[in-house]
Amino acid sequence: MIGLYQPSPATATLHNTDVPSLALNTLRQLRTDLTAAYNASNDAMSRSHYLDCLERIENVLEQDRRR
Amino acid sequence: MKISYLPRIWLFAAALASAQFLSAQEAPPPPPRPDTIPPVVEKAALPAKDTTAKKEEKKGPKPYREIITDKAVSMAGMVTIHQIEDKYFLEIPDSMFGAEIMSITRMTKVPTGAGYGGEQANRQVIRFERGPSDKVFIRAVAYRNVSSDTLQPIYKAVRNSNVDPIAAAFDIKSIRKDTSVVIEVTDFFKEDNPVFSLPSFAKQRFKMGDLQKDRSYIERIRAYPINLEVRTVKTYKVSPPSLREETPGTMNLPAGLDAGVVTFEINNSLILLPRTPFRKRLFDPRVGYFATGRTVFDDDQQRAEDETIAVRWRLEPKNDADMRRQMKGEKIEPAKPIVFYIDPATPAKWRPFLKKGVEDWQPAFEQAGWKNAILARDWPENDTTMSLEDARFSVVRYFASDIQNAYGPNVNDPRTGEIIESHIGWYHNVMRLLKTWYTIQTAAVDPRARQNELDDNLMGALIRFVAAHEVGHTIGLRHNFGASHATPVEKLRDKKFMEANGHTSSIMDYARFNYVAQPEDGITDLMPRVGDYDKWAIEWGYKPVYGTKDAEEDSKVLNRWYLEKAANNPRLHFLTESSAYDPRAQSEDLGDNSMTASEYGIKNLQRILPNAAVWTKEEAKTYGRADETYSNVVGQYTRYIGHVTKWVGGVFETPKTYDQAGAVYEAAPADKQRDAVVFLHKHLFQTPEWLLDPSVLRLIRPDNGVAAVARLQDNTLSSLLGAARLQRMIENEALDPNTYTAASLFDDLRTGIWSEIPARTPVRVHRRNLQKHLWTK
Repeated sequence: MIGLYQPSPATATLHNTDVPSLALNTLRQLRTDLTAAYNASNDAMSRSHYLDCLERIENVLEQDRRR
Repeated sequence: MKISYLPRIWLFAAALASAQFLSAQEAPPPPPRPDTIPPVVEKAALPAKDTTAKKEEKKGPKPYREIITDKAVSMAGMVTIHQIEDKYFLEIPDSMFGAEIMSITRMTKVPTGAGYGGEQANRQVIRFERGPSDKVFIRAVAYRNVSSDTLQPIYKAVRNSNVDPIAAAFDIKSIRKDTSVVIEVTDFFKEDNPVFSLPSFAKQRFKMGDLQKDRSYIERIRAYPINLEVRTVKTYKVSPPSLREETPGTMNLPAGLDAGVVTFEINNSLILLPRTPFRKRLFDPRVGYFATGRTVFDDDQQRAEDETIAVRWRLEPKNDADMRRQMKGEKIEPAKPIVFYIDPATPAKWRPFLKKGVEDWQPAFEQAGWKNAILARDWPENDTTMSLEDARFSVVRYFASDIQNAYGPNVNDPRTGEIIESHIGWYHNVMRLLKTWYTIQTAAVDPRARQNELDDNLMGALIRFVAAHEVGHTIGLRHNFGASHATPVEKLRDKKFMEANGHTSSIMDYARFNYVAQPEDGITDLMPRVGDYDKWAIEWGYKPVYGTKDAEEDSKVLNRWYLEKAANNPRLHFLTESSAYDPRAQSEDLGDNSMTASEYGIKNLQRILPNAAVWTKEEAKTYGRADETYSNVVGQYTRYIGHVTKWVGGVFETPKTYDQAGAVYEAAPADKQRDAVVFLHKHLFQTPEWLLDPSVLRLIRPDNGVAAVARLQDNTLSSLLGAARLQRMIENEALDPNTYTAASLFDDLRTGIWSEIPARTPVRVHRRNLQKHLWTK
């Protein structure tokens, strides 16, 4: 999904379709969910994993904002 | 020299059969017409008048006797071949000029790595033509643009714009007035030429250079009533391996590495194409025939028409009385049945099964009004007049090869689609593939599949199935990847239904074996068979259409047959083998619902996998077979995942004519697409723990499958989110908002792959990998 913002030749043709919007919405939704999950989790590995994923989401959203 | 003993062989043959031989002592009769010749044994000799011929001139044709001397060893056929020591002369009857001839080049012996003996290397229609200055030309004939009528003015325009290249030119050595001309062909066949030798791409691939004349020769040339067989040995220099990067696609053959050259034995068959045109049958995309196409020009048309012709054998009644019987609905024998000979190199125990695979098609031809239309025979090893490479004979060739495959080609007349001959290629190691398939797909229900070596009768039945499939190709049929979709999944578990119908309506599908059947179903017949679609397809292709004037009229009758019989019967439908988006048309799938079928398939794999090291156990052997079984289980499971994935964003494509209602293209049902994503979550994105059975993995692998599962999940995610699929989903939504949309797919993937979030459960290692893989999409 996120790769739509680092497009490969195969996905480049979808830039002017609904797909980028869907991917962004999915990321924003995930960011909300992951933040809640991170706060609620007591499992160290899971928390570390969630944090990593949140940072990756932020990077992608930031790249999109700079476009 | 090898060829010196041929006359004796030919003399013996002459007493037995059609191809006959004359020593060089008797007067030759005029070369017979190719259609009618009984092959004549003849001695080349001098007509009386030639004895007074004036002294030879330096150039131009010479008297016959001076060229075809009494040393000539001659053999008459569609042309007459004269051998004088190491020279070969072709005597071409006047009637042969302009006749169209199919040239088929086969590699009969090859260096290791360059393919397999018997494989076709090249084919081309040619014709002999008298040229100026006492020349004979060979024209290479193309059939891309044709005129429907040679009497129409547009015929000239077509000829003017489509000149056939002159592929070879020969000096005429002698002319027999109004009878024949003689040319010498020694150098032509001994040396290299693009029409009768290996194709240029093969030479480039194997880095082959110049022909080595001193190591190339003609082994023999034989003439038969409708064909000429030329056997040559050709040696080529090869480029040595380079220290720099090799050109992509090229390779050095091992023999060439040692010797600097490679040697091939090549057989050229020149087959006279039928003079009486076969009634073409226009291709219909609703019935899966191989086809040949061209553009037709006609004075009375307003656009050039693309004409596609189905490829079929010529089956005709023996006489008018038979034809009348057939018109009344009686089955009759054709004048010339389709006969497949079994290569004498085939292990004797498999021959009966190959023959059954051929004759399994007889009921299909009976449905088309023919009895005994297709026959299998053992090769008559004592008949020296017959050659396996002779294009008059169709043969199931047996190759000693580790390739796990078989193939069924055919050679057809590009003018009419008439199949002239076929050589099925049967690789010895196809048995390994059959064993693998059968075990992985049926061992849960068939105890016979749970051993390293199958019982000969079971292997024979598997061979019979593949033979029938390949024969299907040789009689014109393509793969029908839609056939298995016509059987509802639950019927695949219905013993009575299976006994009556089999698990797919076509043996031309890649439907292999019934992997849906469960142990409790009691189903024992798990093999494909010539089915309803196959019989219908043969009926469409081979049932004569009487009372019509041409192929156009025939096509209207055939369309009526289709509408009456097949249009509303899914078991008779054809779906292509090349659709990227129709989930009904898939290789190796079963049933009308890939999700349900794959669910059953996985249940059976879960029964097989724990036995990977049990059913393969052999004293004093390492766990190689267990490893192979495990890999095959993973392969089969991956196939199921692929079948299901294709439903997401799927589009049905059902070929129709104007006479049929409904859309040709329609989105796969939304509920099926949604079910597919649910399936993928259940069986792939939720870690398939059963596949990571430590009791097996610890015997065969240093790892525990974490990376392997991650790879499969990653590949499937890439496929699901591929541009073509998402674009199709957007297109589908534009037409029908109720379809399964790209937005639904994104939502379903997010909630499924991140299901631990609402559940507040820890994320395990495989799932963490999966979730991280998502960021790379």
